[in-house]
Amino acid sequence: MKQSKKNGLMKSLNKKIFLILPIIIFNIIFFFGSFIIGIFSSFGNTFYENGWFIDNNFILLDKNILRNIIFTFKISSIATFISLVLALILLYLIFNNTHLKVFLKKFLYLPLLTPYLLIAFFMMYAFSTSGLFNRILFNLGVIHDLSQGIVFINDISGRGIVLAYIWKTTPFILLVLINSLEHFDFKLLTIAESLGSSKLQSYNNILWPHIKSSFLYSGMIVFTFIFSAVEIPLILGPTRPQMIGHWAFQNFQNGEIALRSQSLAIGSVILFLNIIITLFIGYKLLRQVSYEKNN
Amino acid sequence: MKKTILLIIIILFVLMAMSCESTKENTQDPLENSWKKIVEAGKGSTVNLYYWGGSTAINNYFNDFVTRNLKDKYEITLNTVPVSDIKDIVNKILTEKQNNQIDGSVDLLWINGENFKLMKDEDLLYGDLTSVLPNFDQYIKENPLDFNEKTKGLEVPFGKAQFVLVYNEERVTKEINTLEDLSQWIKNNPGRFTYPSIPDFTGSAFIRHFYYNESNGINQLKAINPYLWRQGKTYPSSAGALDTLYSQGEVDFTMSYTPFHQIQKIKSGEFSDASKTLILKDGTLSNTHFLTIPFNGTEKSGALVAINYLISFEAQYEKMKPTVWGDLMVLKEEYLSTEEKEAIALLIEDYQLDLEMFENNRLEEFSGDQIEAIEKEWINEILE
Repeated sequence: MKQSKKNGLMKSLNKKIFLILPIIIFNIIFFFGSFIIGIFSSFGNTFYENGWFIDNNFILLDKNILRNIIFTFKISSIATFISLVLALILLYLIFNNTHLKVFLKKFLYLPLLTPYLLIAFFMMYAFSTSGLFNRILFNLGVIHDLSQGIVFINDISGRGIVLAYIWKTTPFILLVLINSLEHFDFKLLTIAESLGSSKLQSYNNILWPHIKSSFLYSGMIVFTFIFSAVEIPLILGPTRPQMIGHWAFQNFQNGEIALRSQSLAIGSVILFLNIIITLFIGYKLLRQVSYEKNN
Repeated sequence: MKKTILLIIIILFVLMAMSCESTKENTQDPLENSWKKIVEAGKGSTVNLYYWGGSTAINNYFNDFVTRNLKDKYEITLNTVPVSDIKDIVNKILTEKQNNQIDGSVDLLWINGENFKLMKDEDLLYGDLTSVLPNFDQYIKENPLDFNEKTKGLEVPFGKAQFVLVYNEERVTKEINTLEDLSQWIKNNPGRFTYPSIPDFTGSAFIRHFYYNESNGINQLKAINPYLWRQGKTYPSSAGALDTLYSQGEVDFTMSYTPFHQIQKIKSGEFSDASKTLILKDGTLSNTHFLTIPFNGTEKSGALVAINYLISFEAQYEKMKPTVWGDLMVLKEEYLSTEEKEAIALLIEDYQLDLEMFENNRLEEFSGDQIEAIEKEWINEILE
């Protein structure tokens, strides 16, 4: 019985594949083709050096690369964590206030539609040494010299990058969470409370299991996205340490041709991380879909 | 189902592979023809020019002035292909060579320095171009060095750039003549000077000045480091970023490898009128940039005619105007006619250029290997 249902699912999947065949072929040739060429070139060829080694040290163990990787992990984790927490807080506020819900649901699309570059340049003009923010502080008399003010641009701890990503990713996570609650029956919460559970308990035991998977998946997507980012660190990041996407891009663009394979090696590392996380999410989601179909 | 997909993919790959193969024979070598025959053969050709397209001024010069005149005078269609890094094109030609591709897509390209060295070493260049060009014979006569590398006519000089510092006259009142003076000024005015970090081209050129007379240039750079903008903990990522800092008044100096940078920026309204150009009396680095034809260009005659036009007085004069491009001429003054000299004198008067200041304080560039060593030292000693 179960077997035939599964076959039916596969058959409908087969038909759907025809509809997306053009884009699949395009992806295979151009995207996967370039991935494969990139991975092969990272091992070196006639005019590239072997990219996986710097002065006979494995690239991921090189002191400076390692520092960049740690920096990248730090920035992505902090930005993802803050975005997730902020999204949860906003979600809580939204469901306790109907006016806010209507307003936020419209307003949320705004940061999502703003390109990253625009946000980066806004940050630059708002939070550089002679930026808008410091000029306001200066005119209010809080600081007496512009250089005493707050600087988020090119700073070594990468606060500018974190801020830009929080701005951009919190609404994304929040939208995913709101959508996952589309079919949630909020009466359950009222019932639980009327039966004597505290607000925190009812959120924890009824709401949380419902949004848990969306919450984790969106967190993973955001994390990999920031981990492989180039343009925001390029504009807002410090000279050293660099995020590895930025490092790979700069090394590829401006370095010696022979050393381009190093960038491709780092690119491969980012690619593998992304593939692992995508496969994980894809596997979990597929299982969830087939679970729902079978029940 | 799976077989169908597989079949489609295989067919596509075969098609792609077929489009890469080519058995076209090369016709007679234009370098052995007379100039008249070359011009005749070039008529009606479409020449693909690959060049660094990061500057609107340069794009306009090629797309407007050069394209129009080549069409009118020689019936050559110039197809300009601006790229963000000419290294990618060198790489492309290298791949074409490995695949034995005889008809390449690049007819003409604008290069110098390490890219030229790579092309020369890998045998990617066409031949001794300067021996056939009438304008080279009339105005230039000698093959200059390219970052200390002998060119042997494999590329044709096209323009000269020189490093300049730009400063704000209102903020920098003390006279600065030498690198020593500059270091002293930086120490007396902490936080008001910085330079773009390597791998930026302009930042790298600035650093090289400290190595010109001394072997321990890195120590001098270390000495000024704590007095730089934001204590030298971070650097602007590009010359453009430094220009922005300068125009916002965060620093008092900016720098460029374009000689008339300050005139152009004042005209565009980005810099205040108090900006002045400074060339150190110790001299500043200058380099020559070149035009060349790859070994597998399909329109070699057309490309030769285009190069010859680009080193004509007319094209070089237009290129030198600060409002057009602001690039120094490669034509030697002693070979210019009286009228041509007068035209230049007028240009100098119009824009109040001090060409002698450039001429008298010019330093030859380092070789590619030296530059690489200097950049590595800076990254290891100061950045990491």
